[in-house]
Amino acid sequence: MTAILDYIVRTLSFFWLTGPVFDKELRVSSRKRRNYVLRAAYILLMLIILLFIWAVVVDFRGSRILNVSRLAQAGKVIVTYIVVFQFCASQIIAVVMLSNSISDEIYHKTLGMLMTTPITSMQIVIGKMFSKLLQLFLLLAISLPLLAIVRVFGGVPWSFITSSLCLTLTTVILVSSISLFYSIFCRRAHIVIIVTILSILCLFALIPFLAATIFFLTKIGSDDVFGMLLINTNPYVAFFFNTLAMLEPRAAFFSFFVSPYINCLINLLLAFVFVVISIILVRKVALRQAAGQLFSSRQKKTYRKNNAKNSAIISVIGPAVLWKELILPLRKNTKILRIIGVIVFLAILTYSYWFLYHVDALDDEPTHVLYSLIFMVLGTLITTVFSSTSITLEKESSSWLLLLTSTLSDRQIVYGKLCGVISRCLPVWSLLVGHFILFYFLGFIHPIAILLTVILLVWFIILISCSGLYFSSRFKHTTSAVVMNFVFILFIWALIPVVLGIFGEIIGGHDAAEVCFFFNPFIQIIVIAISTITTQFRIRNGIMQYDWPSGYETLHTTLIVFGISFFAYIILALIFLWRTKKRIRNKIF
Amino acid sequence: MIETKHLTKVFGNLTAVDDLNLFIKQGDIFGFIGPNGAGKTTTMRILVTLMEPTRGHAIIDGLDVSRNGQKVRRVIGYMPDFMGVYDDLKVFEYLEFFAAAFSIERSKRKSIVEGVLELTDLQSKKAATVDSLSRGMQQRLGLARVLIHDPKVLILDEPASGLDPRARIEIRELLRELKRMGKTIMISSHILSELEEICDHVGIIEHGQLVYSGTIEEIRPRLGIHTKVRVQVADNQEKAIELLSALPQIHQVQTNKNYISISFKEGENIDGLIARTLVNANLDVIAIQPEQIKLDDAFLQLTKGIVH
Repeated sequence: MTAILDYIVRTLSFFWLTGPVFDKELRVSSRKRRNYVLRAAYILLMLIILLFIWAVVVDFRGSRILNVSRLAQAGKVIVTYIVVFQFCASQIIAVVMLSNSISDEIYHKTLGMLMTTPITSMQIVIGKMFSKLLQLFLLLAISLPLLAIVRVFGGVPWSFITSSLCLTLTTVILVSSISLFYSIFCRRAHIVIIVTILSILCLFALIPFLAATIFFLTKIGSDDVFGMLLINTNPYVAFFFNTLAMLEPRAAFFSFFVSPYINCLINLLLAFVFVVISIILVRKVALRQAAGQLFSSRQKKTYRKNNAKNSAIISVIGPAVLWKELILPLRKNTKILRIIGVIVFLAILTYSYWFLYHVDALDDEPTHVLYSLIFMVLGTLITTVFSSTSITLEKESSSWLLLLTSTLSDRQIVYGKLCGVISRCLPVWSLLVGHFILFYFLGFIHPIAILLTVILLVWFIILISCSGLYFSSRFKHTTSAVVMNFVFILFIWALIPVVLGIFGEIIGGHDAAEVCFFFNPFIQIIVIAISTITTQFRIRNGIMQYDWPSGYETLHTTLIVFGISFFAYIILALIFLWRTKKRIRNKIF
Repeated sequence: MIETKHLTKVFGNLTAVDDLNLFIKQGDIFGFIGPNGAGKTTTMRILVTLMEPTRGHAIIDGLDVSRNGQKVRRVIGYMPDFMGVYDDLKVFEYLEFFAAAFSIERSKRKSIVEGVLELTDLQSKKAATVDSLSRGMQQRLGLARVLIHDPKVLILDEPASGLDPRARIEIRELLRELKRMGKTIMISSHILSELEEICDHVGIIEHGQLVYSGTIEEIRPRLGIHTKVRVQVADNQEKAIELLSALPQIHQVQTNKNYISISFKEGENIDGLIARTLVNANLDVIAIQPEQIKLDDAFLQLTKGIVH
């Protein structure tokens, strides 16, 4: 009887599935300060969003009766923002949390050791994944009482809360499995983060876009079938329409069957595939490590081939640090992969331009806004990562000490690093400038767009490079530096305007938030994109008008805004650079 | 050449280096010994300008390391316990990069790099990537790197750790060659017997404090360690032990499979007495050999193995 009970308890405890890895992970994570900071930051952010929505929807200046009457509407909006925030934030946290789950074990050479115990590769993968997911589910659970309270205001059906939570949970499981999958191959967490984000974009943005264009051009099948496939397989589209349906319950959006739960099942199925592949691969990698082999035979072959090809020794020319920063990326074994990546990217870009030409949308506002934002986000992602990793990578490989004990001055090291980061990022940023140059020559864009974009990019690249260098000198680990640089970007261009907006609403003015919009680089690039289209630009008294969120402004005002942004942000960048120089010899061990 | 005066480094509640006074002469090889966590690496990091001392001074070639960091870096070559490499650079590029980092003129760099490659016997590997080298080769490359700007002082933190016996012997030979070139070398290691063979002076540190500094020969009398001789007899080892144990000059008699180990106080001429005693008892004496004190013994006697 006891044996049977013991068997039932063990089966229900899922120990057979996760093994002791789950316990160990939870124990370790409970001792990490950053997990508590994360929870506090999550709640704080949610509180700020709640205050913002409350301030906007429930007008503080109105009478009490008016405010009460608007509670249902407020409840609806609050719930919408909370579920959207949860949907986005939990995925970002999941990608970051799982990014070093397996690579840490490989790096610390504990994976091979685990293989000498009865622990199975399934228990390693599931144990790691579930322990991190449990922490994420705790974060999601934090908001449940809030959602329940807000529901009392009315207007929000239970079905929406359950379906959106299910979508969030299953999408989090999916992105976690992708991040865990890549962490088997990459030692660096930031590379895993980038590759996971790019994979998600590829799966749920690029492929649907290509499918949509092909469907549009060939007209294979009916619109309903395509729409049903898209919505039921894409969690982001499904989440969007699920939220829209709650906000406008009377509108019938689709004539075909759509259910968020189908999407949940598909997410779980995809996650299952990634987990199974991970289990197989983890075993292979672990056994290789246990046998003392660092690389697979295929990796070794590629390595030897590249080593033989690149036999030419390149002489050091110019400043030593800059030379090293520029030469090392060229020496990576992923050269062919990168070339293929660039070719594929350019092919897709050309195809998208051709498609827009085909549908006569080359001079549409959304076209240029979308391209500008895509290139801007891509450039931001690359520059943020490159700058934040430039010093921490040296710290992690212990080469930083060698550099600091050379006769290079602190200034030479910091400036060398900065120039290296900027030089490496320039090809990505040239896409944005290239877009405007191309469309200027095609006659769709006014040449002023190129000048304004260059002004914007100069300060923007320098600022995030300098902030990245600062965080790189401040932190010991690459992942912390990368995350902090992203947090800095979100802080100054998202959080500050939101907080100022809340205060503006409370005290009855909107000026501070509007001023923030003027100095936001992402708003600035949108203004450039929509105001310089030759077929649509607005001219008043012979002067071009620029479409800012607060209304139309003249070229003169716009140039002043760009000039102030330039000088203010360059000063901020110089402060970061100065702090970096001061810090590079601190806390190096 | 290297001097520390009341050098102290405190991390929170922990005193890693406690009032350390060291003096290393020009051209010496100084072995810096201590258990893990004793403060060796911290001392070295202060000397190479990577850390500021909490109190006291460290002076290299007449320069205070805290005040003249940049000048001190020209004089020293530092090899950390874990050698940092740029994986994707080739051996020649790696050395040329550091030559540039030490502001060596471009026209001279090639010949200097060739020179250190020859000295460290790495010429055949100059086109290999750094990460393809074996651990022993990487250590040699590390030595080549510290020599690139021809420093007067070399500070090497456990350069032989993790190496196989052949690679260790090669490193040892290289260090001897560097001593012949007039370099002052400060070297820390856990392989004490190796330091014994190459060091002129040793310093033993524990709990951040220097518990001994001097030559290896001076350790024995200072510690009151008994001198030992090995006695080998053809047969009847038990009778020999009985006779020798009865001698008042002898402190201790230990038996081994093939020989008897006898310890006695320093300064006594006991070889003749042992020989006479054994011969008079009709025992065939095969050999009487002095047994040298090992640095490991001194290390164990001087340190208690306390770590922070």
